[in-house]
Amino acid sequence: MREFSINATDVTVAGATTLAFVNPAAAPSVNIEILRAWVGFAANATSAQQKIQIVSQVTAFPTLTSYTPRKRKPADPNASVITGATNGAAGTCGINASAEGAGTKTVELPDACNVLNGWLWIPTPPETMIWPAGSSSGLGLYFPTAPSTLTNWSGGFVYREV
Amino acid sequence: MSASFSAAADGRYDHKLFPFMRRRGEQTHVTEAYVSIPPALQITDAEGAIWTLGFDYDEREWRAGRYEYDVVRNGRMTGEFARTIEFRAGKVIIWGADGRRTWNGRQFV
Repeated sequence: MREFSINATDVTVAGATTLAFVNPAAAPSVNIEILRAWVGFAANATSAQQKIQIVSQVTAFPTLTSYTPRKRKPADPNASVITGATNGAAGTCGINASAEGAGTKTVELPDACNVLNGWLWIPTPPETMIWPAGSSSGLGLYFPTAPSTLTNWSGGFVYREV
Repeated sequence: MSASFSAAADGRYDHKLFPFMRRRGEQTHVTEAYVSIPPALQITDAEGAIWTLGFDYDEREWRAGRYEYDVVRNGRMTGEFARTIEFRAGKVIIWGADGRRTWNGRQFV
């Protein structure tokens, strides 16, 4: 199976922000199966709670920093069908949104964590989230409320092309 | 055989890609008791070591229901696989198909 990661590392977020976003390619193409999502924080040792959501969002998508997915299996000869872009369009991904876009967000998985401990979501196979090619929405890792400290956030997705 | 090769051949993860896997600067806190990974991302023990679950797993065993990933200490694979890492009474405990094992400072027993 071909696996890739989208990594936001030590970014400064704007506030209530999409930390990572991936949008499946137009059909016919592979589907995106989310295997893992995580959020980490390293700015200080101040205990604080932070809401985290995995959301789906229809157009208009967030404005992002382009990110090219990293292979999780370096021997894989092919790059992901998902490419880096700033507009969140179909078949693209990016990190650390500077604007959230007008598209409606739907909460797929709500959670919260202590920032000192971070947050890790690893679904068992029956629980994985599969986003089909040609979907009208992409998936985002989203802070619904602004963190009390905006610096040194990390996070991302691991996905599989199925 | 592992299905994912996120770590280098020496078992070290890329800290630029995964900065949460290592301590950065002097130790600032110890994780409170009963925190477990997941849903936490990391545990900091009294020695200042950072624990987390890595990305490596055995595809066949994973598909057979043994949903375990490599146990990572300070960004380096320990050679153990587990479903959960728990911090309890100052000890790092892993849970998996091999049952409950506790870190004794050098290895899990």
